[in-house]
Amino acid sequence: MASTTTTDAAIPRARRGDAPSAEPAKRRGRAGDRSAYVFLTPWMIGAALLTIAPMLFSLYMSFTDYNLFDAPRWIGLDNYRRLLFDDPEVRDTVGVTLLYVVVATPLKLAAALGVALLLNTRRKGRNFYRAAFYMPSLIGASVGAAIVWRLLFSTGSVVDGFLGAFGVHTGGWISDPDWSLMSLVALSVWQFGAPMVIFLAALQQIPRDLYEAAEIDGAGPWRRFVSVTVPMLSPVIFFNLVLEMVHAFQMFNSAFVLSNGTGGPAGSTHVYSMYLYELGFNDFRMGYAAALTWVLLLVVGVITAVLFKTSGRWVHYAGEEK
Amino acid sequence: MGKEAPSRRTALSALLAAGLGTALTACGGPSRSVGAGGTVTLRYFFWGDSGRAELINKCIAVFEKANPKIRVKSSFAAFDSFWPKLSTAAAGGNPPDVMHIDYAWIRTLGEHGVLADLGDHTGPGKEIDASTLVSSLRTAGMVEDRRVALPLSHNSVSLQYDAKVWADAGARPPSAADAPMGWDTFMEQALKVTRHTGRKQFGMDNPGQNYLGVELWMRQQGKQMWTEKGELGFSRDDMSRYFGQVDGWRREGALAGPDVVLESLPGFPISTRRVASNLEWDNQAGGRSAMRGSKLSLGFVPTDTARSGIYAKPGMLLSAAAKSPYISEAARFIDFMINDRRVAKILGTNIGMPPTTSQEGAAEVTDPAVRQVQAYEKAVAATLAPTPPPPADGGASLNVYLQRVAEKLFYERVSVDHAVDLFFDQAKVVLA
Repeated sequence: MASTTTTDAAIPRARRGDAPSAEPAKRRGRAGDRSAYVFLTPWMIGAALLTIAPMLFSLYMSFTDYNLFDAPRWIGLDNYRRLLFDDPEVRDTVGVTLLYVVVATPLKLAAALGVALLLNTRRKGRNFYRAAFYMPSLIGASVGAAIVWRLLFSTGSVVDGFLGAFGVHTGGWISDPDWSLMSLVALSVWQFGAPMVIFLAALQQIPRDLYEAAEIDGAGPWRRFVSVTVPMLSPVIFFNLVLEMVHAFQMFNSAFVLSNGTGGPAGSTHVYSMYLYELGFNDFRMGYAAALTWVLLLVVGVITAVLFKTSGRWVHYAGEEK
Repeated sequence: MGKEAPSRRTALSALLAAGLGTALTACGGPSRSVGAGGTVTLRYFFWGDSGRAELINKCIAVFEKANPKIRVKSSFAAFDSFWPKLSTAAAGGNPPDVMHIDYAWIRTLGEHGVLADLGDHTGPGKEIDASTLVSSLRTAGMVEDRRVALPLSHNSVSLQYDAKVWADAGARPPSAADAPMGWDTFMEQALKVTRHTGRKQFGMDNPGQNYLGVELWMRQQGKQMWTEKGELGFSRDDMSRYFGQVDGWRREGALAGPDVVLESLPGFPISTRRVASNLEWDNQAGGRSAMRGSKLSLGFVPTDTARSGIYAKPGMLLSAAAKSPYISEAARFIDFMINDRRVAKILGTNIGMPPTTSQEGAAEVTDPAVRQVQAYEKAVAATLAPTPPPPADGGASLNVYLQRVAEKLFYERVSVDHAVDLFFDQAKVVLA
């Protein structure tokens, strides 16, 4: 949920600045709004029935003891009390999840931006490379990808042998509790296609004359990147950061598939959303699982809000006085 | 019949459930009507692959021929997705009329009124004849004195081992049911295998890493995994002793480390030739041998007491939905599945050993792998204990926690006592 709200908020804000003149839009005013709502009606009915109603129901569930089969029993804040103070597994999974978010999000964005910069040139076969780099995001956390990953990162495999050639002996990542989460980070970074495409689109929007002016002022490639590219990209960096962070918090598939649903080895890939799933769908503690969901939503919401608050300092929107 | 009202209510509740986001997976569709000639259609849901589905549909064809007024519409899912589908359908008030149930779930579904009490349909002159059940299965499917399921098959734990690898290492496997090997003696033999193969193959897969091994050992000590009331049937001390023992054997090298299990996924250490023996349900021997590429023999589980610890585990059970309007017809179908010799003939040992004396020996067995299982079952029949109480409500996933805690111990992240504390703390959360 949090992802949709942040997306909706970030994009129009960036666009608003880009619009050459806001006047005609304002004059079209009410009538335009009304027809927009007419077209939106099917979506809004769907959203109300399939998103908002279940959300409210899950909020209600989080205050109950509910096992799917019997009627929910109101227990007030007991679920929240248990998850905050009494459940050791919550503490462990929060640790694993935070580590993953903090490591995977910046690495993925860096990879996406790096490749986008490389692809933002007029070289031959550009479209082929774009498609090739985007492909992994389509494969997603499929079983096939997981098996390939397992082959890549097990003891004596490609990655182990490659690092070994440089004198780095890590053994198999998949079966080592210290490294298993990093294999998930690698899987996430490898799927940088979506933010890359967004970066690429934004890069192409940066006016050439800014670079020319910078060059005339004697700016080298690094200086141009830091002083022109990064500030001009900052709204999109911000957008990708929020989106990828939210995704990282919700990470489930790859951990589930790669560890065969165990969160192993030794709980090192047992992320919060996996615990939530186990509670809900193996143990039928739907009320407790719902409480975990709402805490996740709240935490992600707060972090997103903090990012928005601090964004004023480093995000530059076109047309803004800075 | 007043069919209109309930069907509208069903439709409404289905709509409501969908609207509330309860992922209502359709497993059948709303075919609750009685057809033109008074024909009743039963919806039947089981787990397995298309091979099993073919066999089961053959059984259904035989049943429909004998019962022209009953149609059976079957659908199936893989084991992993079966449970979520079944539970959401049940929660949405739309469970199939007849379904396969795993032993781990019958308390959860039985206690919450999802499964019909077939006790009213069992007995002389009733639809189901349960007097034919093999003696060790008599109590399987009972939850709080209600018969919520009938076993469709049974299996027992065995020691699978690669006789050639053991012989090459000069190790002696436990080979007699009446003179079992002690665990220490067995581990000395297993260590020979590990040494002989230069740790390429460990003597045994670590039995402390899953439910199977822990349950077996507890039962050998006269304890059990779950009590009748659905509480853990063993103490912290019991678990400390067991974890201490297996961790010692792992350190010596008789047992494989946890990394071996993980690197064998999605297979098993026994099938990837990383270990030369393990504890496993006997009916798995054929499949694992094929994956391993060499024959696995069935040996007898080691024990330090007079108890073997093994029992007849219902491999699959058949239940009817409490909400089904056709429980009588469902019961008739269930009786057919567990008692009719033609069913046993068609199914072979696809789902395990037949559950009743009426089906015993019906299948002509030519497959040597199946013969091996039959021979093993015959050899251990005298030592088989009755089926123990089913796991607690919410306890079905406790083996996942057990595995996680065991991994922490065997990766040497936590001490034995700490691991035991973690497990019991988690049990408290799960069983609360």
